[in-house]
Amino acid sequence: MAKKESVALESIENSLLQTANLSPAVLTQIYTNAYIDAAADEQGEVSLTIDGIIINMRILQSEPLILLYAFWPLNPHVPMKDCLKLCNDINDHMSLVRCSVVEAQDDKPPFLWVDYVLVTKGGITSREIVGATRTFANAIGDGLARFGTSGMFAQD
Amino acid sequence: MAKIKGLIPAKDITAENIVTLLNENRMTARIDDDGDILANVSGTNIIMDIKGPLLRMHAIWSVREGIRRDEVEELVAAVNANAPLVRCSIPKNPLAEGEGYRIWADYQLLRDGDLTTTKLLECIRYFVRWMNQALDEYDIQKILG
Repeated sequence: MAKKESVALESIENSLLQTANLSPAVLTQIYTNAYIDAAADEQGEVSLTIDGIIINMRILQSEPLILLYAFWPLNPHVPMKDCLKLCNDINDHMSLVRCSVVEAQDDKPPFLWVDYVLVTKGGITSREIVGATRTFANAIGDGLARFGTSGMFAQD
Repeated sequence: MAKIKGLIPAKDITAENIVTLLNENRMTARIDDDGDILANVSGTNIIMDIKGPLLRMHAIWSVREGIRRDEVEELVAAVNANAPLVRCSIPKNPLAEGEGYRIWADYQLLRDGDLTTTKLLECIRYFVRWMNQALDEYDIQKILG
């Protein structure tokens, strides 16, 4: 492990993390410390599951941001207006989460995409990262249950 | 009040302290009768409030009369799918008879993880910057009243 990363891992428990010290390994360690199993893949994405919802995250290079996201393939037979209504209901009523539809491309089906970004400029605490992730997962679970997705997802 | 800097514990992330912080950083801000923070950031008016663990910031616009809901939905969907950070929605709250649609743009962050003053200010600046960018890039400005 690189020296910079090792320093970051030792000090993440209570300290303020600067953007330059964030890495998939550091994020994974933060979740492990919070008793959440997380894994980083070869592309540098971290994924974890909370209450059955798979959450992915990516440290963005272009801006000091961490992107949290989850997605579900949509049933292509569901009218777009129904998908947009679900998105608007979630965006209008739920905390944190932003919901949108990624339209079908080539052989890929449309997706329901839910995301949230954490700003890391100025530093971020591990408490904020874990708290935002839990709130993100809860808001998705509550939003999908509250506004109903029966028949909407491709696997339904 | 002492100058606010460094890491602010969640209990100190209050409307009063946010107003002080914004004023110290050359932004106009005050608390209205409802306890909301009215702020002007580089010429853009936004409203902020604190609700439970969340610090919320938003702007709201009225859509010009005669614009159909599906037209508004399409633009809002484009922002949510493509723009960074800013979330847009069409509020469901009933409007007065004859009024058109509104577009609500917001960003929320958790205050209970503690926040640095720099981060708080950057979140506000990012929100305003990307909201204004979305207004231009996705032609929302054209449908506003």
